[in-house]
Amino acid sequence: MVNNFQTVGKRVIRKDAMDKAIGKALYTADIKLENTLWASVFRSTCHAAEIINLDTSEAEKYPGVVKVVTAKDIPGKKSFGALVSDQPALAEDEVRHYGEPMAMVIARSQTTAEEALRLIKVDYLPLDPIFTPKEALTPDARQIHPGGNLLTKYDVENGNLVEGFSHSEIILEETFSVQRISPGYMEPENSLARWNADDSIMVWVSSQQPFHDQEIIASVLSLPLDRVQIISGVIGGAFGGKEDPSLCILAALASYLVKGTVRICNERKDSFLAHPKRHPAELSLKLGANKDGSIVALDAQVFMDTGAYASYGPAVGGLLTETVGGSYRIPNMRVQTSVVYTNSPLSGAMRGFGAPQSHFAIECMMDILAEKLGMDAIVIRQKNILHPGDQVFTRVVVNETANSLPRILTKFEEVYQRYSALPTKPGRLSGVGFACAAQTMGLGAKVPDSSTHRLTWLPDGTVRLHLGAPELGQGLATIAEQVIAEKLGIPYSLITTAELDTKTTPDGNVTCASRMTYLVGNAVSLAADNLIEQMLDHAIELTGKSRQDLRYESGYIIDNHDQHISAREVIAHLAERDITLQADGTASFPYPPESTPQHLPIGMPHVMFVFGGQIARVEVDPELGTVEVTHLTAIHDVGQVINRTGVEGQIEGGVAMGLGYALLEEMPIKPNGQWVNSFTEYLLPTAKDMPESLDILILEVPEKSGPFGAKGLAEICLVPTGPAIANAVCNATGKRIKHLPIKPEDLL
Amino acid sequence: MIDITYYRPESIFEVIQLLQNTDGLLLAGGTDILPRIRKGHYPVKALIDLSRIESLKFVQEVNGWIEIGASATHTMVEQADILQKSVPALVSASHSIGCLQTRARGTIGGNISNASPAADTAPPLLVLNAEVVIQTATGQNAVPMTEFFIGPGKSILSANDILTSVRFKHPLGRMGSSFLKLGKRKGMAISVASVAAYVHLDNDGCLDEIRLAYGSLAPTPVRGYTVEKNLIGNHPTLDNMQKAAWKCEQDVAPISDLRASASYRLQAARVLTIRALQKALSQAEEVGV
Amino acid sequence: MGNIQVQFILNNEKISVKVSPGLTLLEFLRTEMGLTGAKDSCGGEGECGACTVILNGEAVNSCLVLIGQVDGHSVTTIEGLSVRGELHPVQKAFIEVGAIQCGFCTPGAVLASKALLDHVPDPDDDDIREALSGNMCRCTGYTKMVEAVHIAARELNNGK
Ligand SMILES: Cc1cc2nc3c(=O)[nH]c(=O)nc-3n(C[C@H](O)[C@H](O)[C@H](O)COP(=O)(O)OP(=O)(O)OC[C@H]3O[C@@H](n4cnc5c(N)ncnc54)[C@H](O)[C@@H]3O)c2cc1C
Repeated sequence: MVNNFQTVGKRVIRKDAMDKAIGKALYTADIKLENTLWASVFRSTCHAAEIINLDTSEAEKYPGVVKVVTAKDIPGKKSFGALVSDQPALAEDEVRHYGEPMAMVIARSQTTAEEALRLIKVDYLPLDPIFTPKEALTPDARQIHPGGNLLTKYDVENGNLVEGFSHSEIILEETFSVQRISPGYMEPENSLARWNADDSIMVWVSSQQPFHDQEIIASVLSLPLDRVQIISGVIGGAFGGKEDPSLCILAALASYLVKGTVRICNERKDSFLAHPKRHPAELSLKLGANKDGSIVALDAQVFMDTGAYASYGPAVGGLLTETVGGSYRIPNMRVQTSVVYTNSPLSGAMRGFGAPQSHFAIECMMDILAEKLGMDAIVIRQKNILHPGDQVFTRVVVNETANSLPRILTKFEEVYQRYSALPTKPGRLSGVGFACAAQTMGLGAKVPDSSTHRLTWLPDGTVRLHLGAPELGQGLATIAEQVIAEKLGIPYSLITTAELDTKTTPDGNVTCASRMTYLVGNAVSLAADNLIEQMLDHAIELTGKSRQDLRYESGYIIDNHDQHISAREVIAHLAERDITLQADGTASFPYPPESTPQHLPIGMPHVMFVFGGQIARVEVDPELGTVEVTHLTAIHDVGQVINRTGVEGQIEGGVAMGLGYALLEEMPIKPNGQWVNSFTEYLLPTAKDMPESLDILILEVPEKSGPFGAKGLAEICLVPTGPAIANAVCNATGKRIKHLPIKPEDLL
Repeated sequence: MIDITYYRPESIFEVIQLLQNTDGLLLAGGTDILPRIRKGHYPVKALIDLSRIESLKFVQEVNGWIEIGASATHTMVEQADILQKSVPALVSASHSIGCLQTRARGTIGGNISNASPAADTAPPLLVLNAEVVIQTATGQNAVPMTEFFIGPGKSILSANDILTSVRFKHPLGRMGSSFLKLGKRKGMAISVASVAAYVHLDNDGCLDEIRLAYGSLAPTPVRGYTVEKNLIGNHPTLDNMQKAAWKCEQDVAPISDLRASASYRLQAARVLTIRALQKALSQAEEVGV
Repeated sequence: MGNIQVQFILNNEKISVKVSPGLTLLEFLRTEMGLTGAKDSCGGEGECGACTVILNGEAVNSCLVLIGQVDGHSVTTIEGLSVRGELHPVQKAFIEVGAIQCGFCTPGAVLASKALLDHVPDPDDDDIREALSGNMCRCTGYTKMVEAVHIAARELNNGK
């Protein structure tokens, strides 16, 4: 593909890198305000219990304590939740998970607040905790919520399952399970809130959706929306886990109650216990195929542990359901997914949003099928992959983006040869495995998803972007700046991004769902076009020329005699007359009614896909069962690359996260009855755990509706990693492990 | 912030007085005790910081003994020339601890005093027949490492004692030592199981000295006496070593925990025993007759 | 208990303070000195490296150092790494190769890398990975950090 882009597709240096490298970037916990009080949260030490009595009187009296807050102090709505309002800001009658907030001590210092916490007394009536969906769904199980333990059930079918299986020449049934995963962003949740003299509140957040936080805080404090101002600090990673607002609600509540400034920070252990995780899930697949390897039918039963509160559980369940078929064309298919309440820590949004779970199952299943039929695992994928025009089981038709799949499989063949020829260390077994992945972009049909961003052309010639959705660290602001620079034909260095402040920034909605490159790119493109139009309109006056004699090119207005005026001159001229060029751009995902199936529940279907694949080489120590991922090649279609460095960064980080999913990370209950809640026990991959060789192949199959042909990438980077490693381990050892993480003990 | 009384003695004498007269606990590198205090694991009222006592920070050889001061950091140990040459087991154990940041602060004295079954310097010190030098109010004692540990987190150190150094005879001749540790990940890992081996060969290539020790495989770091007994005086053939290694179950008493099951640990102990022996032997064999 | 007097060199300047002995170096830097480049991520367990500073030439976790323990010593934080506005080659390389995403681990990773290069001017991949293995990063997969350290090493060696 030949193009003449100036900025798009290049490697650019992100503008926040300097401040981050010198330690000057201000994350919310780094922002210092006068007279800041500290709030510490009193958390449940039961997995499930009725609260008989909560006595805060001693804590109130402790010197240095300003106030102890319980649910009774909440002026407005006492519970919240993005999809179901089932989560109390502070538990009042019952606790449903270990670590659930029940009270909050506001004190002059952190030490005082923590000391006073110890003086709070609570009488519990312990209830038998329920930790698995299966237990929760037994007929006589205790109801964790009044509506029962089944939060959401999906039952989506296409084709004719019975017929499909009756025509299948081979039928396989396997059950897979995946574990609970912590987003593990380096910056734990925290917030800072200040009550202003004019009875308004300012809240600094580390959040994926400040505008949603604003609404929730307003409802909990019973304040009009315009009295709640949210400002985004620099964000130290989010990965889905910062879609939930829990901590900023408490900070705002504390600030409101004491009419002062209050900081609240989760420690890592709090983050483990009280913030959403990736859903543990069990997936039972029944797959029918013909002897030639073509898949005829798939029936899946999925149970997801959503923990004590709904969070984004229903939506994750939806996307998991949609992605069970992976990258394959399956004519007869049914998925039944139960999203179930338990007394586990809550599960919610996390990078992949259901796809890591579904892909572990389907991609292992493809290898199992290949083995059963004595076929090559690449060939069997070639037979079944989606092609443009194919329908997935939600009846969405896949567009040209599916052209990436055959290319991914061809790369698998090449890399497989290369990896298989590598020498194996003495005493080790080596193996190669791969997996494809399908991820969707966007929030799904019927979910309001529009995203607005603002551009202002300043008199100094720079263009200011008010990005309405937060930069989480992934490089969103950078790609937005690049798209603007490209559109306006001016240097990338002239675009700057403002701090996100709900007072001055338009609502860009939530940063999530691999949707931001597409949405923000399209929105700022529209805004840039609009700026150019405005400038041309003003240039008519300035030059005395008619509109059709003027055009805009690379920062200049050019007339029919090739006379140039620089945009900067125009802007300066307008500034003298107090005119500022400003434009908002709004974008949404297209769900054209004629091609968007309407038979599904809200949030379904997703209509735009991205595909990728990864191939891994492992070495296994057969005596110790340890697995080392020595090589990995990640092949991802991103449409038009915007920032090459950023694309690689996403993939490298995704592979690390996928490797943790495959081999290291898990959050079980310890023998002492408590959840794993620290980095001592929850093992993130370190620099030494990364493959010695990590190659990245970027495919650029353009998405016509995306900015310059770009599409989303963030989530898919980790989706194939887990099954690719599991398949490689099986290739090396002959052992088919059907759960994650794969542990040394599984291989002995 | 933690709530403690803090002392900064300048001499060991002062330390002893503080130990007797306060309820202070010794603070060396702090890499173990500070996280524990923060977690509320023990109610520490006072800390006696050893950082001003330079005389505890050394690695030296005197009269055929190698002696390491209690406040020598893991970094000091892994970088000491004499240790690199003569006791690779200890060097690799120190090198395997945590990460650079941990090793720059954590000390050998803290590691031993902790008496964690997973303390990585313990197995190599055990196979080196090390002694622990303890200063008490009444004098100095040298205690064999084999008598030092009495249970998880428990040693013979009393609250008023300070461990001042560890020492062992400089191993010479056709000898070799090794340390192998199995963790759950490659970087920054606490051991699931570890094995240290020390071997010495006679002129016929038979094992005239052999010692093995295990970490994370029993309530304390332990010696592998049974395995040793089965190999002493024999040629270290693979067959001999395999047969002997199988018997390590009589020396260890692994538990199941978050990191691994008891049966896995036992399997790891057998495998690591053979590999540790092979590694130590290859060093011994390099020396020649 | 009462405050203690602590004197040390912080970012090339002698300082002398009276502070509570229960403060960790991390808490002291962040709350008393307003130096917020060092971060708390793991909650004071020494497991993440986000609070890494250089103490007497070695990378250490400032969450595991009590303030009294730096008395008489020398501490460099990320804020003190660039000399007269000139970035350290490690900082420059981290920025240029894209080793920085969310940036929360960056100050610690930069300082750990700097300490490595002070001791091992010509590190290989294994040396670098070893040196960074105490610095958790959830965004980058470490790949670009390793690349950045190689680049910085080359620049430092050429300058000699
Ligand atoms: C991230 C991390 C990773 C780690 N990884 C490992 C690992 O892989 N392997 C391993 O073995 N350990 C590991 N540790 C534990 C710890 O770092 C080591 O045990 C270290 O050697 C402890 O030494 P210290 O000087 O820091 O001890 P401190 O924390 O200062 O003291 C530990 C204990 O010993 C006592 N003590 C200290 N010095 C003396 C003395 N001279 N006389 C008597 N008592 C004394 C103290 O009172 C305290 O009870 C790790 C720790 C962390 C934080």
